[in-house]
Amino acid sequence: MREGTEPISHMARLLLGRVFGLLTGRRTLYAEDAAARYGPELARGRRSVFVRHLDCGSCNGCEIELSALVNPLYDIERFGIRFEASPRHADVLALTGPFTRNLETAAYLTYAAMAEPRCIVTIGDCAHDGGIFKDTYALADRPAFLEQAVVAHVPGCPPTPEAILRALAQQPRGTG
Amino acid sequence: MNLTAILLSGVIGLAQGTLLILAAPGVVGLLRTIKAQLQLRQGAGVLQPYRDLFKLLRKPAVRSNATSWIFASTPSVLFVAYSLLVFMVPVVHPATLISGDFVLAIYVLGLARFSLSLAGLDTGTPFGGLGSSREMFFHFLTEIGLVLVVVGLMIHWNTIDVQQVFEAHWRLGLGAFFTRPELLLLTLSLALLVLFESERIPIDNPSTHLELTMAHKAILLEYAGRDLALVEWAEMIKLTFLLTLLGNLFLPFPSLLATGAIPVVLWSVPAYGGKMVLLVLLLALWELGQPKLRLREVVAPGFTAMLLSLVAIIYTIYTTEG
Amino acid sequence: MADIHAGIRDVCQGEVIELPRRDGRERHFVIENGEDLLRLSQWASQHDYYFCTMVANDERLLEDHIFKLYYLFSAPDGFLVTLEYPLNDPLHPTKYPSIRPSFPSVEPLEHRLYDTFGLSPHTGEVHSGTLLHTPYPPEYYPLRQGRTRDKLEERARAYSPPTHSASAIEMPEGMLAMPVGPIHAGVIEAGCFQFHLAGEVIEEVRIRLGYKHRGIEKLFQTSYTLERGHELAERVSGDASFAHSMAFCHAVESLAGVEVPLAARYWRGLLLELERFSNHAGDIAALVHDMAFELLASELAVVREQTLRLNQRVCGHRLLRGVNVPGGVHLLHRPHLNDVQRTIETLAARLLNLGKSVLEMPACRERMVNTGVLTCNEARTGGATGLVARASGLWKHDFRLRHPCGVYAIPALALADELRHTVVLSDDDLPSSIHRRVPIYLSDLQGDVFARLALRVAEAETSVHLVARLVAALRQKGGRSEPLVVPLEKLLRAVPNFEYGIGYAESWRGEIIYWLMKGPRNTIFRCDLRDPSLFNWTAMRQAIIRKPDPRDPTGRRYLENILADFPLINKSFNLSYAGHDL
Repeated sequence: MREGTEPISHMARLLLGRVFGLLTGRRTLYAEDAAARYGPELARGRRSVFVRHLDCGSCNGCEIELSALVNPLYDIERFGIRFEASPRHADVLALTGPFTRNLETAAYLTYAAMAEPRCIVTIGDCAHDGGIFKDTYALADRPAFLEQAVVAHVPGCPPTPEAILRALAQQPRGTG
Repeated sequence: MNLTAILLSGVIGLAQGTLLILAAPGVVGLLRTIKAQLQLRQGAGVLQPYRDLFKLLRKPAVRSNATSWIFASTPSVLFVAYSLLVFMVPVVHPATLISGDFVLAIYVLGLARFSLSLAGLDTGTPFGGLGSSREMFFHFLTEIGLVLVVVGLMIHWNTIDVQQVFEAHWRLGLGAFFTRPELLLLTLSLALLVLFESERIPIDNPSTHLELTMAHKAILLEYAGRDLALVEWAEMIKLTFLLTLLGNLFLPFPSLLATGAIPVVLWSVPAYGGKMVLLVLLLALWELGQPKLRLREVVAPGFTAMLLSLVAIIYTIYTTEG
Repeated sequence: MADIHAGIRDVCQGEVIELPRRDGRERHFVIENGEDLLRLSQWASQHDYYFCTMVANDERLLEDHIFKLYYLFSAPDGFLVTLEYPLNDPLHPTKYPSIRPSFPSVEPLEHRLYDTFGLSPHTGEVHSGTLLHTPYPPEYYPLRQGRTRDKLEERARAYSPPTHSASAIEMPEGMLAMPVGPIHAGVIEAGCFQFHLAGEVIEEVRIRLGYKHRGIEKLFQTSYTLERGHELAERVSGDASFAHSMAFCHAVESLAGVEVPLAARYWRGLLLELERFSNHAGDIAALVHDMAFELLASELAVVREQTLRLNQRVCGHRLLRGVNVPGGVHLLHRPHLNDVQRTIETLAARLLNLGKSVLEMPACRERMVNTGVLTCNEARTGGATGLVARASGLWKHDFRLRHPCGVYAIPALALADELRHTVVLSDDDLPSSIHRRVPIYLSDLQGDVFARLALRVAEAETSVHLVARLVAALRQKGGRSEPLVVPLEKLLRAVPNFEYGIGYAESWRGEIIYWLMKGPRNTIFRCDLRDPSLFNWTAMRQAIIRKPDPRDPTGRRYLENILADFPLINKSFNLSYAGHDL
């Protein structure tokens, strides 16, 4: 495996097939039609939402579902939603996890770095009230200013990507 | 040339430059959409960058207390610098607002990069410094490459004035172009350098989320709101400028020599559009079909670009002497 | 030869008592003499024992009135050996001898015990703050008995940490310290890395974790019973939900002394392999994405998503939660075996095709080969485990082979055959019954990013073969609806209090080990769990730093990584932050 080289035929065929599909229009996209699946209101797009993910001690289940959103089967980009690398760029903070004591300062600084108007969407049961981790010593109380910034909550452990997508697409409209 | 002609060409140059600045987000939107479609995704549409910019422009800029005027002024410097470049190239009409030579163009690009690198250092964050150092590394490679391309053009045409070189290429026409290997070599060289200058794959990844692999984006991490809008728009203008340069210089079609003749302009608008779509499609394919290079290995395409120009120069000298 | 009795005979001078274990594959010894413990651990390290974990237990309220340590080793002859060491020195009730010289992998556990129990070794340094950072008051020791949740909460709330001003990090001339994290730019977990750079080259990296510490071990003990603990176990590390709950259930079942029904064992094996396939697909996708190879990355991400949807169809949860219960599995409906079989075959074909393209493409290889090398020796001494260890050439290190349990212990299915041929040792070694579409050879496993990716592809293929065998086995059992769960409550009540049980499962990352001690009324007196990530984080540091290339006889060549390659190396290990921080 390490030494022998094969021509990159599989790749080339894939790419050529795609170009052919693009030029002739004969292709099916991976995702279902947005209007049929999510309703015309949501599918209309025309929004611009930059999302920054903030892990506050999740079990990484919510991260799995958040990163699933960018795959071609959900294709969150078509709704005008984008994950951003910096809190400075973001409109929405997608907060996962029960808010551990050790991450308190970092979470506070992340939110403080965002430009107005900004809001928080909490994702997963434990981001709401601690969920299954409610009874441990390791959780901190969310400061009031973070609590006030929460505009939506997506329940589930973890929530389905579809539920997260709906929440991200709908809520920030008022704040953004 | 009489006054009205000068005025007219000024107005036309202003108009097409402005239109290009306004169209730049659309070019990026088209690129993203084509890439999405090739991955069998719907994508956000050609207009999404406009929506993003519009939203960002309405958000206030957040600047860290640790930054100085350098950080605050860089977005404007970038925007002005790249806009200047746009006014230097003929788009669908040979008239330009600013006449200058290629060396000026290279150093306007250099000025923007320098300013960006300073801004990266100014933030005082580790990523800013990292990005600046990598930017300068890239710049070191591209500056030599670009100068060599210009030297190649100069030896070939005995001028480095932007407009005169363009005119010479148009006079040559697309067909005759392929009989001159030195020009083809310069085309390849410039195409590689365009990838460098616009931070595309395999040099840098414009859509990465990995802070440690970022070069260009690492500097932009600290910008917010209006500042970010300006920087992003400037980047889009730069990409559009580079593609226009490549398209109009090395795909000289149709010939725009008949200055001001309306039928030619009518003809050249769709031709320009077609060229841009073609280049964007090629760029999309290029970006999708390969991984990014290891950071140290970007030296290879940089040197390849230089080498191609050098060969072109030697070939030109050889054939003209002989 | 490697029998522990021989070792005890050879090196121990004091009294060593063997206590009987219900499970014939386990052994338990009480060693009272610290010197004996050190000598025996040295003997074990020379005889190819693998150090699994060290469990501390506060037994001051029980008959012995002291802290106890339980060292767990995996012996090469297939036994799980527990060495119990009571901390019975009245002058130093919180000091224990450190086995670090023979098993360096114990170090992170020693730091951890210092934070949670206040125990420290006689020799060797420990520092606080690996799990409990500055927001916690000193001498917090949450895992000591008698520290209730309310008391802990109260103390943490009342404590105001000293405000420290950022101080410069002392660095040698010409080097740059670059702290990254704890919040990262992508959709990833929280952890802090401090790089020491010479230019772009990484000289050293300090990995600081614990940010996600949720106090899970304490939570098991205060709020969960043996019958319900699997719900929490599923949420320790979400990507290995099924393996975690399976290990927990295994511990409870071994405590109760029951074997789950055959059909339940089949289902557990099948779902564990589905989880492995799904995560390997996701990892390959992520790795390719990190190389910025968008086209293949998005194709692979589709495969990954389809596996999650298959999970949803099979048991109603995308991460396979809510299936395992102590005593068996709980399925809402009997899933369509045909659907499982057909879907996984299609997905495997696509995954293997794409994986093969990535492995063979020169541009990808250029990024992966010799990047992040963890040599075989380092993997062995550092205690690396799971896929990481196997990719460094220790291809036999797999708990499904070392300590087969559940479905892997059924000889008729011959799953071990399939597993043993994940890596092709030589072409003529391959039996005709086993077919490899993407053969990975032992020479491929050189501990770099390439090896880890190649092994992921190979293991995904093995998983598909295992699933096929299990589907066939389940079909053979036909429609006879036998119960999938044995009730455990009464059996558990009959188990004497303060008895312990060990459970493990080979997740896609490596073995997960649960150590459960029963309390009164089926409560959990002590739960210790070890995620494979714990040891592999140390291994990752080893793979990143600059070091002499062992393959170079002159010793002048160095293995080094540049900063921009760190994300790729990190992704090739893909360790759990949550599983480490607990």
